[in-house]
Amino acid sequence: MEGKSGASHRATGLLRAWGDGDQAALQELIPLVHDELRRLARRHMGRERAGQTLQPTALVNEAYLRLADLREMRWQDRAHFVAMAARLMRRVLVDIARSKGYQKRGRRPRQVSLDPALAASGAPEEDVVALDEALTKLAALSPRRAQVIELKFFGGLSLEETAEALKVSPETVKRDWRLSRAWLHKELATNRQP
Amino acid sequence: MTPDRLDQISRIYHEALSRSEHERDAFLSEACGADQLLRQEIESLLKHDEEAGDSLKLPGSLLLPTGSIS
Repeated sequence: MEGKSGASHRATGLLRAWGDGDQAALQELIPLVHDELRRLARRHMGRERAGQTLQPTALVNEAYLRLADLREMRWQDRAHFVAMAARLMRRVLVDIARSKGYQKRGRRPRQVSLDPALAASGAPEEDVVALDEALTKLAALSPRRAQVIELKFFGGLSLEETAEALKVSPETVKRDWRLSRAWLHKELATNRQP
Repeated sequence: MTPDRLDQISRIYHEALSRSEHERDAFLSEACGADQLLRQEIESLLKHDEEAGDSLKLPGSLLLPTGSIS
């Protein structure tokens, strides 16, 4: 068995403290999780060949497993962790895309796109930077709806977990998801025009 | 667009989704009244809802960028 690292031990304590309402613990936790996600993403990218897929939700889950001592975690802790990590994951992916030289507009690489299954299904390709821009726009109109997308898309939370993390009903999450999905689809389709 | 406008759109949009295609037209005429922009926005979202389908279904995966692009 791999021993838990010092970072993991610290993260577990911070996660518990944050769960108990300690906001300072969250501020300490964020850089730990951000570093872990960036490390995992870069390692994954170094290992895999270009053209393969990277699953943000899998990386968030891996970070949780690495940082949290599951014996000490409560069931709510995971939803809280993912709620925070999903946002960081989004930032990490955008940073990586931008560091590759991709600019805000005009030089959007088709290589940074969603699962090729999308293309096969006839759906337009989306990319990380465009999705990030559209989400930022949506967040300005409706922070909750943007968060629903973020939690489900980058965090992989289920409908019920998303509802728990946002303290709203599953029915609200379902409606937000349906509207936001169409809204983003429209936004990305409009932006794709040169 | 404003936050209130999006809420208004959301209400009518979900109501429209719950109706059959056959009923939608009459429903939108009534719900949007003379606000043609509102109607256009909702009709566009309904179209994109159909097109998006489950394409943003989760968990998503991202194709890695190639190192050669700079």
